Amino acid sequence: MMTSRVLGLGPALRQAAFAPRAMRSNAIIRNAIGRRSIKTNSLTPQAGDAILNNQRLKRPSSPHFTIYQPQLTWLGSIANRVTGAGLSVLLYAFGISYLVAPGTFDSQHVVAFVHDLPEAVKYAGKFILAAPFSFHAINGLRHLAWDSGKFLSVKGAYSTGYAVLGASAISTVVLLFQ
Amino acid sequence: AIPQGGVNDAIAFPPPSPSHGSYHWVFERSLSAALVPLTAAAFVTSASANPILDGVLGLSLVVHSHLGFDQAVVDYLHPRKFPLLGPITTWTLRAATVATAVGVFQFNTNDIGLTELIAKVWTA
Repeated sequence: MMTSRVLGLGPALRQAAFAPRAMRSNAIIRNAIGRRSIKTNSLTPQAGDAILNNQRLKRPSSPHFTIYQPQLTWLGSIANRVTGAGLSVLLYAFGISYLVAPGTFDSQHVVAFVHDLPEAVKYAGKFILAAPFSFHAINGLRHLAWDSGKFLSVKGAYSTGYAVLGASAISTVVLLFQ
Repeated sequence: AIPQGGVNDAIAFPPPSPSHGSYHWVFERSLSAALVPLTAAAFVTSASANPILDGVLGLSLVVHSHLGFDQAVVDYLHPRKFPLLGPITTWTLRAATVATAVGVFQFNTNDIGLTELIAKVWTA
């Protein structure tokens, strides 16, 4: 029977069934099998699904992003997105700031503010702008090449990837000393 | 969030729409390709002599940024999984893009323009 299987009474019942006739009285069987106090509830399928879904929502997911081996392919891809997003945040911040407060953010104030910064900060700032711009622009060319169907292999992705890194480095240095 | 109908039902496909599919892709890539000669031109010419170049570059950069941000929102905050935060972020992004475009237009019209600003800040 299902209930005896669920409650784990199979071996005990089997033992009681094959026992000698003297042992088969109800009282002895009841005490030999022992009492397991498990109560079962009756649920509709929807209620059961609700419990199951709540358990699923609380389950942890196995590590994926934190353990994937760093590779030029996906590092380059996320770097393209991060550099693009960073430069765009700067553009949006400037555009909205100028719209909201044109007196504070007009070109004269901005240029004067930058002019008054220490040299080291100016170089650091130029690097922080030139490096993402160079990488994003040259990696963008790589993306456009892929969109035209070129370099769509592992070898192609890696060779163009290294070329992009090299060209970005050169471009950053050139821009830094303009 | 648990998908509609449970995890054993197939996910619903979005309705096929070329404006959200291939036309979107073609527009996005054409704009990215157009940015290449625009940026090169901005580097070699002087901005005060080419306000139209400045305007076109500014608009292209803002639209390019919007498309990039939109892709990131769709990737990380899809409405299927984030039924409230996804649409809120999408519409906030659209508002921010419009504000930025107006701000860039105002700057190009009332001030020296984007390319000139970058040139001046770079050599400040």
